[in-house]
Amino acid sequence: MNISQKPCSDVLSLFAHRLPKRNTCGQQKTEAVAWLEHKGLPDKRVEQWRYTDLRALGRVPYKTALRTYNPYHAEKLLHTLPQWGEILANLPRFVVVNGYFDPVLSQIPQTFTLTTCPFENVSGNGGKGEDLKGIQQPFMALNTALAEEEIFLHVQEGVKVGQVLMVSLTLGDEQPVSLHPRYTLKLDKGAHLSLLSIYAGDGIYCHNPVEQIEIAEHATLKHLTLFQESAQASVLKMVQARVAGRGVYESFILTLGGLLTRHDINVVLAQTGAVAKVNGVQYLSDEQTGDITSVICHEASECISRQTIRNVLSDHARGVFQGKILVKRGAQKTDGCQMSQALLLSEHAEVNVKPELEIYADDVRCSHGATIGALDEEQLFYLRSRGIAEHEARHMLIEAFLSDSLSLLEEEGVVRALCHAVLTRSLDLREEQQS
Amino acid sequence: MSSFLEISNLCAQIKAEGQEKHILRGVTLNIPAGEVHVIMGPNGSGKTTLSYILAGRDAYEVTSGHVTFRGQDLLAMKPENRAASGLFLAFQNPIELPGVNNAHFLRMAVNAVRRQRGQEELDAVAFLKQARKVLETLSMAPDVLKRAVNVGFSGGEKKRNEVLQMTLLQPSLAILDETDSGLDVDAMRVVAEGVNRLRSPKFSALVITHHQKLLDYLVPDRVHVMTKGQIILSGGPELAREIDQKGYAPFVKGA
Ligand SMILES: Nc1ncnc2c1ncn2[C@@H]1O[C@H](COP(=O)(O)OP(=O)(O)OP(=O)(O)O)[C@@H](O)[C@H]1O
Ligand SMILES: [Mg+2]
Repeated sequence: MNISQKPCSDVLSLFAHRLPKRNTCGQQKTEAVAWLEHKGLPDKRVEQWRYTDLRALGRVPYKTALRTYNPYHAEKLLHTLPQWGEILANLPRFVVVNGYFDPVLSQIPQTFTLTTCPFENVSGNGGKGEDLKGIQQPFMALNTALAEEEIFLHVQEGVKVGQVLMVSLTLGDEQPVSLHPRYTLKLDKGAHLSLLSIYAGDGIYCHNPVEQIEIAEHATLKHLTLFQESAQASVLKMVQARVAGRGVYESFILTLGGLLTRHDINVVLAQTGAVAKVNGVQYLSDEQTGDITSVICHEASECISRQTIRNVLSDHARGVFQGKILVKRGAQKTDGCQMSQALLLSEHAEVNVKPELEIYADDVRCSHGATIGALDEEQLFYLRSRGIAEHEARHMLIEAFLSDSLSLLEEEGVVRALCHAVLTRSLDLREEQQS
Repeated sequence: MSSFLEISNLCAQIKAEGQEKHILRGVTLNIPAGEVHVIMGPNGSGKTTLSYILAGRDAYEVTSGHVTFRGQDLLAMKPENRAASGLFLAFQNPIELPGVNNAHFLRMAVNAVRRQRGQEELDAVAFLKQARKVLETLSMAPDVLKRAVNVGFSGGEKKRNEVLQMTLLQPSLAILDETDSGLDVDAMRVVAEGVNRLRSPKFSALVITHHQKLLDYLVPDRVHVMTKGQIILSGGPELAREIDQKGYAPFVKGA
């Protein structure tokens, strides 16, 4: 981590009153607290945080999100999810409310196990949580310091689970709350899981989840994450995935809600032939910021990584994609590819793209590219010359750009249909607001 | 019905590399209802520019002159309203629309125009039925409906897709900008027949072409020659044949 990182007491002060005292908690928490007290939370002077301003977190200290909540409130929110009645309610699911697993709202199939435990016990609990091997990222540290519960999902060798829904609901209060859940997903050899995560909520809150993912040989995790958080929410999410030989980690991020969404993804391709796909779409308006920052580390030979991030930005929205491909010595025949495509719908919208290649092997194929543009005038004119009104023509072209990105989603029909519906709905909503 | 399309003294320019470039330098042209007129002229003389301005592309600045179409001030209208009033432009280079399904596009267009003309919209089934019928007359494969608009279409397929749109939108004035270029003989006949089928006392066409061949199938009422942003000469169908034999040089000199 950058040595010049200075403590930014402003932002850390929003959480400081809740940090446990060192050595009165477990070792991990003690280390995390020490890290935070030493380095603080980053401001824009820190390279990795240049484009994303944490001052969006506000000025009022965050209270703890409560385990006890109003069940009607949760039910009501659940029913506002897109296509809840048509598709989602029929999928096997686990529901997390305010960062805690909710057995009542969940319907867990027999094909995998889901267990929870207080986070402090993790180290003494059969080694469920991977050791962090030194914290490197501020929101990993914050999560570790403040996490209360760990949720552990395990798919055993050779089991093909199919489509599972994960819903995270945050029931905001008048006072800002924060939640710091810890997830561990473990897929044994040859296992297969398609996970659809939906993050939703209302009110003001800061959501700081950490996902630790272990994918064994020949196992596949397809993970689609849909951020539909409240308009006043901040998300600071960290994913750490480790993929073994010929394993596949396929992630697709769809960011629509939230005032600030920062999604850090670190993937380690640890053994020969591992594959990572990190694709996503950020469709943002107003003052929203969406930031996808990834580090794909090719540690072994013949691994493949693919990243395509699309930003569609209107009003004063800002989209960020910082993607790094790190090829370690000996990771020969690496095939890494990164692409950023942005559609700017207003002159005030902004996209920041920072690709980074760091390569220590000689026989590799790595590339990156970026396109930025407004709606194409010729395309607009073509549509209008066919009688289609200007706003409708714009709508068609934005929809085309958005739905085109769904072709990256190698998913079964329901999920793709859902995404399509979600995108179309938010396109309609935003147009309504404008007119 | 003399004033169907009346272009008088139209001048237009474009800003390119910080400089004003005059492209049209006083175009005057009348097309009565029911007639097919042809414009020929050397490359770069302003034919496409004229067709774009008539269709409403705002990249060009009209500096003087005016255009009335069916008694209305055409230049004051939005492109979509021009289409609804019956103007159709078949593009010299049809635009690709990645991610936009062709059938969806065609139906949006047809219904947008129908709505503005006070006609009932077509539902998906009725539309497809009609579209398939037209596809057959144009000898087009039905799978073009499933593809993205013009994406990966061959040159000829793009041109036919323009004729498909024209037929579905039922214009009263079709401007065909080199729709015959790059077509094989059979395709050229298909295009000509596409226009001939629309011919009626209420339909006019402005056909931009470099080839006399098309005019064997699509016999025009008048032929105009454009050079350097002006119509310098007009005549009957025989003018096209003369140009085909002698080139533009003798006519340009006389101007
Ligand atoms: N967008 C533009 N920017 C700069 N110059 C332009 C632009 N559009 C047209 N022109 C210029 O205006 C002139 C007329 O072009 P236009 O396309 O109208 O010719 P044309 O008669 O259709 O030619 P062709 O037979 O080759 O199709 C040309 O010199 C062309 O370069
Ligand atoms: Mg031309």
